[in-house]
Amino acid sequence: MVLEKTEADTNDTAVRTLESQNIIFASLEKVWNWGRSRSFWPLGYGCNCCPIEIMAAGAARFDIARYGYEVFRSSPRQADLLIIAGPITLKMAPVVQRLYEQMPAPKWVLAMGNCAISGGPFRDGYSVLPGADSMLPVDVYVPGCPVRPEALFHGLLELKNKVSPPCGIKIPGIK
Amino acid sequence: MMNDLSGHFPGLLEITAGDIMMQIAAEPGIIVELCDILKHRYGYNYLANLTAVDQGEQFEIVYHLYSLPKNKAELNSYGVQPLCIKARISRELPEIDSLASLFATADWQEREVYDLMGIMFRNHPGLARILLPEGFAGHPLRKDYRSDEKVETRQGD
Repeated sequence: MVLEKTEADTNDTAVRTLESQNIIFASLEKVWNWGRSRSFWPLGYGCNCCPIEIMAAGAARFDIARYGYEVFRSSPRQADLLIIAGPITLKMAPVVQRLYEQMPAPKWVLAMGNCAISGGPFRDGYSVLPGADSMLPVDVYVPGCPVRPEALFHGLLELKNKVSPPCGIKIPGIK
Repeated sequence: MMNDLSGHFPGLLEITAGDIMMQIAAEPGIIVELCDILKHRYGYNYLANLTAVDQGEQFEIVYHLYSLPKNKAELNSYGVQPLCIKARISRELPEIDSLASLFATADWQEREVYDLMGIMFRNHPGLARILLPEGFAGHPLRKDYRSDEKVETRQGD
């Protein structure tokens, strides 16, 4: 098995011999990303409505565990995905920044809901940041007010594709 | 109670009966003494609400006092009506005495009023901002507050 097989790989007899012996031939980073993208460990930040949807996403009806993203962490040191699910106030901003910095790399940020994307209805307020990307490098934006669990899953799967791009099926001889 | 208070503070307060709350318009200087009497003589032991209104030239500080022991349906006659005390202070010198020594609930509520409206409470145990971060400029619930600088954003980079 080769992750992201190229034309040269498929024609390489050495690779094919390894494959036939069930030996994985890939760069370590790709294998790691393959695992990371299928088991994000999220750290939640939110106020009220989007976190309720996260709870619904975690419960039986929607069941986030189907995707392997159910390991919500209470400690930033164990998390690799920061889900911003609410407006960041000026007073809260240094705390969020600190939590983000405490997360070990590689780490990703998902902005969930309109408040996290742009500040939402609080955008022109005197004490709210206009979006999480004012201070954090956001990877995926999931709009909604609040975001439905299905939309959150779509955002997580987009992030999965970003972390570990799908190689698709390659058939020898057909481009 | 009305006559007693009017006699104790001649010319310094004005009491009017309301449907839900009794209204007292008081001079700001007597607020602590007034509340002390209300608490210890008339049993108004709960300061439910403390807020401020920007009336342009003046600020109006509003206190809502309740009497928990007497707040029963069968006793809810005129004498135990909840109280709404209003005191007006000037915009130039927005200072009033703190009630924190009388009511524990006054502590944080006065901090909130200071934070958002910029009212200084004399003899407050620790008058610091409570909602907004330290170093925030201005008091945003004042009518003349203008936020000159937008909150910084990275999108414009």
